[in-house]
Order: sequence, then structure tokens, then C-alpha cells
Amino acid sequence: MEMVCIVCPNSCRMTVERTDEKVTVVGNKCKRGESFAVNELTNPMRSVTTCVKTTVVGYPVVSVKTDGEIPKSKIFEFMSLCDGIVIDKPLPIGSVLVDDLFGTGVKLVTTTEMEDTNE
Amino acid sequence: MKYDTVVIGGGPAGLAAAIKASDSGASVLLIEREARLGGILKQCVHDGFGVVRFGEKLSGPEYADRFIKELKRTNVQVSLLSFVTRTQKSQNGYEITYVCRDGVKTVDCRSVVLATGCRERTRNGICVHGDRCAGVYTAGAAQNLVNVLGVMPGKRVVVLGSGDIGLIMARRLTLEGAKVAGVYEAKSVPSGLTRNIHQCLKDFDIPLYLSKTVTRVFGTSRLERVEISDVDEKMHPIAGTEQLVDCDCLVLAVGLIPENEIAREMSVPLDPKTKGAYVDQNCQTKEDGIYACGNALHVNDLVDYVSESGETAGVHSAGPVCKRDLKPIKTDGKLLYVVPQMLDVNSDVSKVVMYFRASEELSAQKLTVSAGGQTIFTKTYNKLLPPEMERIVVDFGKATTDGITVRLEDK
Amino acid sequence: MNFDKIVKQVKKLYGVDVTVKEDERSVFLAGRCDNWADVVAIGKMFVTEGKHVVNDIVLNGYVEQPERLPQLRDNALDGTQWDVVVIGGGISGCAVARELMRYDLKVLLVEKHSDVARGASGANDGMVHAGIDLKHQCLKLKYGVAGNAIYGDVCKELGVEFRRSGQYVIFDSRLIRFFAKGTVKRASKHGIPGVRILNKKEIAQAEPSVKDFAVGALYAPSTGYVSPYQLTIAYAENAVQNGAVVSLDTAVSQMDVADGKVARIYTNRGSFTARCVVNCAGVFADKIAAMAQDRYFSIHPRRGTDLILDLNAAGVPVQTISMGPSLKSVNKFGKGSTKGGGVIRTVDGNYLLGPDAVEIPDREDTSTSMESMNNVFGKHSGVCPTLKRSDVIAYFSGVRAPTYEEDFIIERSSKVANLVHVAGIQSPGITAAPAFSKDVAATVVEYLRSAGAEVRPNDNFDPIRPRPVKASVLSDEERDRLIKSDPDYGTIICRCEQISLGEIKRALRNPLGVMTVDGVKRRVRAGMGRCQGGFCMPLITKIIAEESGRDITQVTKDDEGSNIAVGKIKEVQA
Repeated sequence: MEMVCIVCPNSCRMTVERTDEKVTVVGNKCKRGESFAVNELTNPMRSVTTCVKTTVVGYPVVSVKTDGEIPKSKIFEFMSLCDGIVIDKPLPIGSVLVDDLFGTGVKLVTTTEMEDTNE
Repeated sequence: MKYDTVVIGGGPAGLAAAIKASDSGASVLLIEREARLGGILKQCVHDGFGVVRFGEKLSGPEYADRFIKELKRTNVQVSLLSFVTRTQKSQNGYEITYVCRDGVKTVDCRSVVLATGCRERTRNGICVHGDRCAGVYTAGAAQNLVNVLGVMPGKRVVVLGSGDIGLIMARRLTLEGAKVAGVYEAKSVPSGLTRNIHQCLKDFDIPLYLSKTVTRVFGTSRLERVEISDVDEKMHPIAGTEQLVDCDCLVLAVGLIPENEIAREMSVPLDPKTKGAYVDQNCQTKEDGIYACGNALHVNDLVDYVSESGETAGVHSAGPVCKRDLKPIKTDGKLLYVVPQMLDVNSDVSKVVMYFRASEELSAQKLTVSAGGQTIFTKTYNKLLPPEMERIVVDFGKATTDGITVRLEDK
Repeated sequence: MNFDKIVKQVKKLYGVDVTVKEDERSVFLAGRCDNWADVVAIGKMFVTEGKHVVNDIVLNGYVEQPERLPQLRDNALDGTQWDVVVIGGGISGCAVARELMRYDLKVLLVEKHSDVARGASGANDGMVHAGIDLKHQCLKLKYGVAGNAIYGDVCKELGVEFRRSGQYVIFDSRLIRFFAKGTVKRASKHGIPGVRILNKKEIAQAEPSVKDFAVGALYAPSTGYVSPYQLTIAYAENAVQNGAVVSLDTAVSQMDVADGKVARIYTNRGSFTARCVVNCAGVFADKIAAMAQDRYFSIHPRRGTDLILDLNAAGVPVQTISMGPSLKSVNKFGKGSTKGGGVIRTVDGNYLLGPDAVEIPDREDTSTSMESMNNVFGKHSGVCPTLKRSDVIAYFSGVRAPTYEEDFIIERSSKVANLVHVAGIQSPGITAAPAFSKDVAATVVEYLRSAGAEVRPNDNFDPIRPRPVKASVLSDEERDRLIKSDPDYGTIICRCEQISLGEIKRALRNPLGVMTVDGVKRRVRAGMGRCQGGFCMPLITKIIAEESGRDITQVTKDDEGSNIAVGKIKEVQA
């Protein structure tokens, strides 16, 4: 089957074939393409970025991301989880909001440096 | 006050320029309009930034943060909430006047780096007619509403334009609970990176409609529906193909235009193709001492290259103003544009970074750079797409530098 | 009068059977027709000296669009009593309300939109006409010339920018001899100052862009330019400053008429009484007249589209210019109802191309269309041959409110004693309003006095409305001082038009209490530049939320319901 690797902006167009236990990948410019293809066939994973609310002045919301990939099937569950998070003090970039998402060991971290300012 | 370099704009290009100018020994003032540095990256919460530069997939704010932290290490003076109102020539360079919360300030400098970014085309620019209701936003405005102000621009959304920002907003709004009725693209091929078609649309079952555009909007107070029409190969709507799609929000991702009001004020010649200034390989415009970089120079698709041109402008702005010998770089064949458009043969010509875009979707192409009748660089491409900018590094070292031409032709 | 001949002609031309009725004021038409342009054309055929036309010919298959009404329901005005109620917050209503404040009167102005200047007063080219195109004595000419003469003074009082930079009608053939000379003679007779013919050399000097084809031009130096919505706002604000009440989001739905007078006015915000009512309802003026049982004219909505040109476009003229009759176009001359037009240099330094004139059945259809845009471009770009379609950066439409007689109706009703009509106000309405509003106020006062009321002058009337600060036009020293007095004037919010936070906050503290994104735009031009609000709209939304104390999701673009956002993120479900 045809597949597009979404790991980086190169967007490699790959041909993926599955024979019994073996997956062969052609067209990938780097190794990451191969593992992406294998994952995509068995357990597709995605990193997700979004925002969470805050009560800090000047920051109605602040950007966050999963610091690794979570199962694609869990994206909306992940979003609901983020709905419930409210940051109540200025946090430095990379602050961990959730330690372990869905037992994957992947963390939810902030991606904006919040300055303690009164705008 | 007097500085060697004044950088106008604190987005990715300006940050990189200020850091490099300072590292090269210049005294630098960075003037930023907003309360925080980072430019548009602040609202680009999605990832994919910095793959070329850092080998990592960073979000926009993270990418900006790396430069902001780097900037703090330097002696660059930063003036936030500051807006340049006038730029004019002075005895030894330029005099820049700006307003900030402390009043009106005037500074002198030897060189100016224009890192003013770009703006979005609006509904007027693409002739979407109809009512003047709320709910019609450019993608950037919609992105600001969601990611900065934390509010939703609509519940049922139509996106016009399949460029990356359109695709990313389609996903972003879907994640936050909106229903995206479809992404419509007037061209027959999608404009954004293939990767984004997959992870933004296919992952969320958002339909992509090609060769269709929004021709009219309807709504008394808020948007109620849009009229979609098929377009012909020249992208003109075809009468009789109209269909109505209910939605309360239209997101327009229909292109970016370099912001060059200061360049215009300074009579810096602009390239009608890039809509940015004509520059040499050091990002210096035709005006001595005025540099342009980032999206103000030409619209980039990767921020990594925005930073790269910022650094080039920064480094060279730090040096003394030297007499230049500018040779034009001509384009030939199926090229949309090439940056730089000139070569200063009085400065280093051994590692000239050139960016180009193809004028149409092409396969099996050969790019040739020739000078003085001699071919000095060739590269072949299996596939070229106008939305995807290409970057090459050319050594003009030993060549005669008259009659420089970049040509794209069938292999 | 016998209309049989016209009825037959209509049948022949349009295949429509018209029934005609007549009373001492009007000719009433009934029938059915398949084409709106024909409905209007038939109406015009029945215009006779001294009578108005009420055209009830129905367009087959057309469902009249329901009037756009505010959803708001409250009792804010219920049971109140007013000396004068002005209906409509366009240039007419606002100017009349302001002129009434020269007297000690309780004045209420009601406007159904959430701001004034939302109809034609907010969507026209802002030309203050000299009046050179008007051939015969009529109210348009009378008030147009009188209004033009006092424009500078009025704008000075009201703190509104006005530029009297003249207009040039360009001729490219010997027709100049016939047309221009006649116009000069007529202008002199009508008291229009300074109109003269420029020869080839003179016009080439005044307007180099036409030097290749102009053989001469007609020059009217008294033509001026104003921001029509800023003047309307200024009139309303000065009225409020002097004690008038402006009630927005307030639509008149019904009136009680008793003993030949309007006894009670009903709105979505309660009902009230007025000793005198002034109908300034624009495209709805005939509907208001009907509510007062005083239907004797019809308004036929006529839409005009103007295009805004890129300031950097090649070869745009320095002056306001239009093309006079030329050998190519002479056959068409006189057709259509928009006079002049061309390339207009607005007071804000923009260039407009337009307008056109399209008869439409829907009074509130201000939508733009590709067709209109093409028409306007085709019609007016001849005067500027280097202009390209891609030089058009924006466009807008407004709906004019003409009567079939095509003149203003400015008079006290002969049937309803306490009702004054200011109807059929179309171009040159912006020009004429400063003059006719004074006469309307006098008419109202005369009536009130005749009805036994004592009307004293308002000794505290202050004609001066302070001019809003525009930081970008100040000298560096003045601007520095302003910022030192309030740092908000140093924070630029709208980068294209260089509008500061201070100016926006000041605009939000306007006497009318308008706190909308478009309200800010109309007052200080924030969002009118090349990015069309792409950068500043979210910021202005946030500022409005902060200044008004409302939640950001409650901030609207314009009228109620036009919320910028539909909710907070995390709280919205499709």
C-alpha cells in the first residue's frame, strides 16, 4: 500500500508491503519512515499539540504537547483530559502537567514560557 | 542613541538576525511591536518546527523560545511594544523613529534589518463576495482567537485554501470540538505539505475538495452559509456549479504577502515576484545598509530557512558598509522566483545559499546555474511543487560572474 | 389626470397591466410584474409634476425579505414622553437631532442597528458635491448648494476632517464645448462658486495622469470630501453631549394615530409618546410613513458599489476625476441614475472607484457581487487607463433610498400634523444634511409652538464636539507629550493604520456607548488597512472585552448576534 510518512516535513511517499510477519518499506529517506510504517499498520501513534486554560493574567490559554506519541485512537480522550486542566500560576516552558498519559509513559508538557507579568 | 544594527521585528527572522549581529560584534537594538518576542510562532502551537535546524519536531513557541533564550545571552537591547513610525537616511546610515509606551524615540544606526514578516491575503484579495457578517476570518486571525485568546471562531467551519496553515487550522478546530465541513482548494493540487494532508485531514476524516472555491458568503449577523463553485483551469468560477454549504465560520488560508511598508517608505526596490526586496547573497537590499530576511524577503514554508536568512542578514549587517559590485541573477525556464536576485562579487561568493520555487508542478527537472557562459552548478529533481521551496548552495568561486542565470528545464 | 396613455404604453413596453388610483398627493400603482427593473421603470413613468408615486406593483415570485430587527426586548423606553422622536440614525436623523438640541427640547433618536451610520450614510464615497450635475431647481440642489457652503464650518465644529480639494470632469473630445460650457453657465445661475473650464495645459498640470487623452476639463473647486460615517457619528455624539438620548438596537414596530397625530410609538424597548415625530428612516421611510397612516411616496432601494484601490497602484490620479461625455459614450449619456462617480480621493487618502446603481427589491441587501464589481470597473476605469483589476483591494455596497420623483421629501405631513418627513434622501444627502437639518429643526419648532408648546432656545448648547486624537498625524514632539500623558497612545494596535490603544480606548468610551469591533473601525479606522483587521481584530476583541467588562465571547462585530467567537475553547460542541 501507499503511505505518506508524517514524521518530518519531507513527507516521504512510501510503498509498504506486508507479507506474513514481515513489513517491507520502500521510498523512505530515513529509518524513521520504516518504523512509522510498521507502527501505522499495527498501532498508529501521534504526537498531539493543543492548549489548556490558565487563570494567569495575560494567558487565557497556554500551549502544550505530548512529549512523545500516544495512540491515535486516544486523541479525543486526550483532548477531554486537557479540557479539565487549568494552570493557576506562571510555569516555565517544559513544565509537566500530566506524568503518564494512558500508561505510555508519555508526558503532557507546556510549550510556552509563561512570564510573570501584569500586562 | 546609536547602534550598529537595528533589527525591526522580533519573530524568528529578527531574533536570528539580532543574535548573529550581536555575536559578530555589533551593538544591536531589536524593535518588536508586541509585548512578547516570537512573532507569529507564539500562536503556532502545532509541531514540526526546527526539523532541519535542531533535528527535532518543536512547536512554534518552543522554537521561538530557543532563540529568545539565546538572545538573552547576548547584549542585544530589546524594545517591546515598540512600533517604527519613520525610517530615513542620515549622515552615517539611518535614523529610525519609533513609538513605545515611554514616548517617541529616535535612534541612529549604520544598518537596518527588515524582519517584518508577512500578512495574510484577505477575502477582498480573492474576491469572496456577499454579506459582511461575522465569522469570516483569515487563518491567522482564527489561530490567534483559538490559541492565544482561547475562544472558538465557529462550530461548523469551512476552510478555504489547502496551504499548511489551512490544514493545521482544520485539525486544530476539529480537536477543539468544531466540525470542519471541508477544506476547499481552487487549485487542482493541494498546496500544503503532503504530511499535513495526512495528519491534519485524513486522520480526522476531514474532506478535501480540489478545484473548488468559495464564491459568496451569506449571513445577517453571523455567517450562515457559503456558496462553493467549481473553478476552471484558470481558477475562474464556473457558472452553474454553485452549491451551498451551511457553516458559521469561514477560515481563509489563501496566501501570504511579505510585509514591506518600511522598505517602500525607504524606496527599497521590491521584486514583483517575491513581493520582497531584491537582495544579494548577504540579504542586503539594493540600498546599502538595509537588509531584508525571513518572510519579509519572501514567503518561506519552513521556519528553519527563515532563521537562516535572518542569520545571514544579521552577520553581514554587523560588518562595515563596503562598496558592492552587484551582478544580476537572471531566471530562465519554469521558475517562479529565485532569491537572492543579485550577487555581490566584492564579497564572498563561495557558499551562496539560493532558494527557488518552481512555477508549476513539475517532474524530472534539471536546475542549472551558469555564469559567464559556464555551468557551475546542476541538480536534478524528480518532483518539484510550487508550495515547496528548494534550497541549494552554489560556489561561484572561480567563475566569471557576468551573465549569471538560473535555469529550470526538463531533464 | 388621465393616465390611460401611460397605462397603454406600459402594457406595450412591459406587458404589465397597471391599475392607477390617485388622490391629491399621490398616484398609486398596482399590478404584477416579472422583473424588478421593470417595476421601477414603470413607477418612473408615472412621475408627474406635483405628485408622488406610490408603487405597489408586485414582483412575481418575490418574497419580501423580513426586515432585520434587533432581538433585544426590554422596557428601557416604556412609558417615556418626548418632545421630539427622531426615527433613524443615519446622517439625516443624527443631524436633525443635533440641530434640535439648539432648543430646550427632550429629544430621542431611535436606531434599530447597534450603531449609527449603518445604512447608506456609512457606505458611500463621502463626496461633498458642488452640485454641478443638477439641472433644475429642486430640494437636492437647494440643500446641496447650501450644505456645501457651510461644510467647512460644520466639520470644524464637529471635529471631523473635511477637505475641499475640488473635482475634475475630464473631456477627451470637442464635446467639451457643448457640455462644459452649459454646465459653467448653469452653475453660475445656481450659485455654485468657481466652476470653470480648464484647457489642455491646465488639466495636464492639475492631473498629469490624464495628459495623454484630456483635451480639457470642467473644474468644480467647491467639491469636498468627508468621512460620511464619522460625520454621522459626530452629529450623534454632539446631540448626546447636548442632552439628546440615542437609543440603539431600537426598532419602531407600530404607531397609534389619533386625531390626525401620531399618539404613541411602539418599539422592542417599550412604547412612548412624542409631541412631534421626525421620519429619517432611510430605505424604510415609506414603511414608517405607512405606520403613521401617511403613505404618499415609495422608496425604491438602489444599490451602489464602490471599489477601494491600492494606494500603490500604477497611475492612480492625484485628484478626484471622472470622465465627461465623450464621443464614444455620448449616446449613453444621461442614462442610469448615478451621476458622475469616477476615481475619488477620499478624505482618508484612499482611492475609490465607483459607484454603480442597481435597482434591487431588498432594502437591506448590501452584499457585493462579482457582477457589480465588474460593472463599476468597466464603467469608471476609463478615466485611468493604467488601472488593473488586481489594483482593487476592497469593495463595499450601500443602498440608496430614492423616491420615484428622485428628489428629497423634507416637509411636515399634510395629513398627520405632528409628523415631519425627511425621506428620499440619497446623493447628495451627505452634502445637504447640514443645511436641511437646520430647516427640519425649525419646522419642528414652528409646529410645536403652533401646537401651543413653549420652546425656548437651549442656552447651554455647545456646538463643539472635540476632535478625536489621531496620534499618527502629530509631530514627534506632540506625540511624545501625548504618550507621556497616557502611555496607551504609544502602543500601536492596528499596524496598517497606526492606531494606538489609547485611540481605541477613547473610541470605546464614546457617548453613544457603542462597543463593537466595527464601531471601533468606523471611529478610528482600526482594521481598515491592508490586512483588513487580520492582525488587530483579535486584539480589539480582547480590548473591548476588557473595557466593557463583558466576557470576550459576548463581543460582537456589529449588531447583536454578530459575535466574533461562538464560545470558549473546551466548551463548544459542534
